[in-house]
Amino acid sequence: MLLTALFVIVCVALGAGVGIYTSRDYTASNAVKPAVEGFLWPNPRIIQPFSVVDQHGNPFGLENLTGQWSFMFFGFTHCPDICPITLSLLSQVQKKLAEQDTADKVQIIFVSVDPKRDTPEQVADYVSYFSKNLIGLTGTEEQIAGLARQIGVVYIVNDETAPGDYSVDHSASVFLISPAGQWLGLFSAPHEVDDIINRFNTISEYIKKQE
Amino acid sequence: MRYSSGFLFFILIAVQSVFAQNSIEITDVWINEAPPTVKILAGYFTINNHSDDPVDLVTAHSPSFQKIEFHLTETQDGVARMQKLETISIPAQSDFSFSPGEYHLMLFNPVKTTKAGEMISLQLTFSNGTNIDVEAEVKRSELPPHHHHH
Repeated sequence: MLLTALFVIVCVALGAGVGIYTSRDYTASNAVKPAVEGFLWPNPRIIQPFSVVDQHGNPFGLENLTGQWSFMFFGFTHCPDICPITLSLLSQVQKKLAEQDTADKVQIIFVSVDPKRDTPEQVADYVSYFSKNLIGLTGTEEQIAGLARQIGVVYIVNDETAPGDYSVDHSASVFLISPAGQWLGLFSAPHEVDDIINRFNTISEYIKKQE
Repeated sequence: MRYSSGFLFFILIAVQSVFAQNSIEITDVWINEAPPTVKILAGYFTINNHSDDPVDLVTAHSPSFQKIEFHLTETQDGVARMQKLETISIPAQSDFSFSPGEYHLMLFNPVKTTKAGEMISLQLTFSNGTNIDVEAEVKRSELPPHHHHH
């Protein structure tokens, strides 16, 4: 009886040992760059200092990106279709990530590519509709162009069809910036909440192992 | 045999016109609620053309909006571009969907702030003369449909 019990204990211990060994082995092989679509590793672009304003009219720059993960989307408040859909989706991404048991801090940032019409007040009304945690950025045309250029964001302001009425073609992608200010991810439309979360989790796990 | 050919003809026309009324059906109508300051909203629906003829959607009107246009969001090389379309052609015996990130009604300048839960009257006019009145529910942003639903 005692021998049987001892045997079971030894087996369990051995099994656990094999388990630890296997998981270590798995961790080691996981250090290879994961195959995540849009993961810009090993050559992420380092974001250079920039200056824009947030929805409260406060300055916003590179220092506001560092220390947390940022999902950035470039759009404009007069955009009825793809912008509200993407911002709703990113608000859900933020909510789901917050429920996740992780220490990662995540911010969602909407950058207006139509600073002429999108004043901080207009942006404030717009982003607060989707989530109180959303950050909205605008600025001068040069400031927005400078930030967009750093991340390779394309946008084209079209001619007016009526006074004050025009559309802006813009990138439909979501851009992921690391807490170290590196542009690490380019997620192309169409977007899905779980897909973005899975890609983010894989990327952030991988980056943690690099540190 | 007692019926005159004129009467039979009348019956035939009556049946046909009833059929024509039902040959186009509008389903899944909704309008995406927007932040109160936004003056352009998007509307979505599906047109089911049950007839044996193609038909064009030519205009849309609503007492709640100043102007309505048909637009298509096209994403090429990662850049989303809105294109205005004069008409929407629906082939015979097929469905045509307006859905987020693709075809949408552009609803300009609401006469008042539209809130989720409200019903908005829309009138859609087709090239065969059919007018269809629908009630669109204003809903809070829905996510693009999953592709397996298509």
